[in-house]
Amino acid sequence: MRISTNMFHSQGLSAIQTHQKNVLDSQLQMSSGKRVNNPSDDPVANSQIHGLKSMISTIEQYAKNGTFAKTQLVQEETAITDTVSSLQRARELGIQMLNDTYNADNRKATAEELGQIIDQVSNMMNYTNSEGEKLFAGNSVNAELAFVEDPNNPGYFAYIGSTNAIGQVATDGSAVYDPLANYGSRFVQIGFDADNKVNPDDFGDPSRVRVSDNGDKVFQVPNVQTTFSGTGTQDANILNVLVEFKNALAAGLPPPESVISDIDSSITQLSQVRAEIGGRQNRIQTQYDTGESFKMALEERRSGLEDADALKGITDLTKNQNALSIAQQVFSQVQGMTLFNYLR
Amino acid sequence: MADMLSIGSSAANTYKTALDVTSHNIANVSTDGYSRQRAEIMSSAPGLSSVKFSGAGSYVDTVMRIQADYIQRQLNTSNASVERYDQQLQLSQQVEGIVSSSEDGVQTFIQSFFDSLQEVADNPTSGTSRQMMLNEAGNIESHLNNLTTVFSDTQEQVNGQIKSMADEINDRLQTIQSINDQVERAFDNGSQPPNDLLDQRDQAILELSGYIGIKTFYQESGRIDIHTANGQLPLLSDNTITELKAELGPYSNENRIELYMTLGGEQKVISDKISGGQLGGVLDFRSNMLDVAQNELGLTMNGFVASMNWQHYQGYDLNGDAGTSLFQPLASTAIKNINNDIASDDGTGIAITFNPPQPAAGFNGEPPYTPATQPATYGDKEEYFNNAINAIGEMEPREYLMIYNGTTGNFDVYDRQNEGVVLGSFANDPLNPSIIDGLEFKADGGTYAAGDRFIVKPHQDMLEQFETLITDSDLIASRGQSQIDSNNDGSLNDEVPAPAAYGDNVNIANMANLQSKKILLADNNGAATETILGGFAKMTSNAGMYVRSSEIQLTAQTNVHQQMLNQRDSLSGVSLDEEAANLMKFQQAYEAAAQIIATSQSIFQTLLGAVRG
Repeated sequence: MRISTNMFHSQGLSAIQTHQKNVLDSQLQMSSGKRVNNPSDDPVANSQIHGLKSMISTIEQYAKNGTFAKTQLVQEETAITDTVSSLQRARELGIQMLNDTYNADNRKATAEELGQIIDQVSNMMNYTNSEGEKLFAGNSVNAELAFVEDPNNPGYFAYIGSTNAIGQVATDGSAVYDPLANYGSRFVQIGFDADNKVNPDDFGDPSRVRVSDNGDKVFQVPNVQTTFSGTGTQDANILNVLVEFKNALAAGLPPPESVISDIDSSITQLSQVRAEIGGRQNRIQTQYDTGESFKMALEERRSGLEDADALKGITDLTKNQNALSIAQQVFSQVQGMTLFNYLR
Repeated sequence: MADMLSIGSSAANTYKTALDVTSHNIANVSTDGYSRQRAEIMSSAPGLSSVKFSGAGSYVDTVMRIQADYIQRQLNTSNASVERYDQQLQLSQQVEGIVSSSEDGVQTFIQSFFDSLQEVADNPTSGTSRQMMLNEAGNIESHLNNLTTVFSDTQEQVNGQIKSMADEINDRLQTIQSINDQVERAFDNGSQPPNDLLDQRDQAILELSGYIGIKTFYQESGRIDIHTANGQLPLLSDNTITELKAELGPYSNENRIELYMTLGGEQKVISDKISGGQLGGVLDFRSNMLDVAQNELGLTMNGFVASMNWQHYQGYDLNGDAGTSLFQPLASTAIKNINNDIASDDGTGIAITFNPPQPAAGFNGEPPYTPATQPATYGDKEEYFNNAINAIGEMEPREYLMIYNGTTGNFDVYDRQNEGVVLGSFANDPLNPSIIDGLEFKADGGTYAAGDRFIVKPHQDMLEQFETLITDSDLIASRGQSQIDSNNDGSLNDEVPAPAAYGDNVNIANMANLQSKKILLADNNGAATETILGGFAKMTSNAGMYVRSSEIQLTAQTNVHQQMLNQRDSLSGVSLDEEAANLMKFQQAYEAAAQIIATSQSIFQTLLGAVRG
């Protein structure tokens, strides 16, 4: 093959340019730490990386949801624990007052203390969280109170979702009765959902955790024994049992024995709810742990696809740099070769 | 009758010329497109009167240009390819960097938006969470605005490039045309070919091939004809230039420059017939990357907007009112062809919207709902919503061409890139729209003539129209359907639509869940294949694929081109070593010829001296 002078130039130049581009590419990979800096670096991996990143970020959001749910549940737990200790004090008083050694005056005095307990329990049952939401009003979190005074039985209480609350008005004059309070506790998503849909019902999804409760169910006394003295069928909540208890004491009478057994069953009921809330917190923790280990696996795959191998990067860079300097040297060497040097 | 003196002087002349040619070669060692020349030395035939055989010296028959046309033609082709892919790569990398950066791309903003939906679902009554969600929606909007600007800037840039390249091509054609004239005259005048002129012409043609793929045809007269690469369009034929014109396309409101050529007295759009060269690269980039990226991105945004809006319609805001449009719904209108009948309407009466089919005829109302237009039952409402999600899956990332059919009175709808297949048709009657590819096509019953053409780009329009409509965070429809089952049948589907409690989060949770739901790009069985974020990933991967293939092609074609350059250099390039050797050879020959003359003179002197005695 005949070699023309231009060929030395163009070949040398194109070799230098090729190596320069390789050095530049290695430099970008090394400085960004990434193998895929643009989709074109690996279009197939790019699409996977997008998917993985979005999944990782969704898991992180579920973890955040879980943290939020936990703070809600801790507040609910506190409110219930507080109620249980109040009820235990009420139970002690009940057992004392059944004892014949106390007279009518003692009972009236105790009625005062019981009044305090009732206030405390009703306060807890109307617990408002930091966001100003009622914890025990189902999803009617904006209600002024979850348990209002029964308009037909002054002194007694009715849940706002109960028909006994019909006729009661809030301070702004609006009716408090809200049948929606009986439904739809709030669910927070802590994991991936199979059908990506939540239905408007009270059951939720395995991927979600309940963070608010229907107060009527929580504070309901199961199989209530106490007979309420007012008109109609009143709400069988623990507050009304305590009111009945207090009324008996205020009248100087010993409390009906059914009060003690009702307080007992309410404490059992509340303890169950509390255990259930603990269970929800455990679920959040388990989901979090699962999510974290899943995330680790995803991160590892993402890193394998996207991140540059530092060792390989350094090796490539050095290799390309060497190739470039060799090409440059060769170029200048070859330039010196011409027959004219010998024509003297 | 040749004698020593005349042989000597002819030899001296010959080598003088050979030395000139060598010098010319050395002088042009680095001239682009120069082909080395060689003096063809012949021995002079003996005179006729001569009795015995005796040579008459030497002469330069011709100065030959060492060159091969086939190499030159291949060089033109490979140069056109290199320039094409180089142009494609440069432009597409520019768009790729902006559209599909994995760090701060659109998908990052969409992801943050979905995260903010989750936050509202956690705590639906919190004003902070709700405001945050609107802020995230605002971020998507400003990012999309930036993107749209980049797209339209790139479109402008492409328009500008096409114009200036058309000018450049016309200029080069004029240069070649005038060289053609000179070459023809030179051939008429003498036997010696105009070597350097031919080199200049080849070089001008090579430069032209950098702008547009061409084919050359040599003519008897020495002229050269040039056609476009596929041979269909004459650029320079019979030394007459057919000029390229770059002007706005027939859908002038589209602001898209197309190339025109006057063929047989008729001006025709020829953009799709040009391949190769920078111009071919720009045109390829425009239709296969820029348009595609915009349509794919727009489709994803259309899916996002429609799914968010329709889920939002399902819920109720904090005031207990049904959800309104969270984002501006698609409202696209047609663009007319300038060749449409002059009495025809301009296309603004042809509207393309997202309006999925109602579950049953005589259905109560369309969202956004008011108490009067709410469907009869929650079940109906859900069915309508599901229709919407299915319609989103039917959307295709394409532009539409609509031709008014004079016989049926309908508009026939085609894929703009494929005029062969009718996708469907819709009546020129506002009460009778049709749904094609999940979108509603509706004409206003205006005046149209048979053959009138309109185009519409619903996906690109979405990118430009994207806007968050809700500004009051109380109006975010976070609440779902009331859980009250009035007839206790265990199903809410027969219930009248009504809001759930104030703190309910069912609807916003369902909006958040649309992130993980596959709703885009349904397959043949109607099952959607991509999530919204998956739609973005697909768009970026397709963009990346284009860049990647341009890059691979560029590397391959550069190698081919380098190979051709080497072949050309090997054959036609000047080698200084060779010229140095020639210089010595011809110099020695010249000196020897001079010696012949000197010797002949000295012989003559000897003779004279002998005569003088």
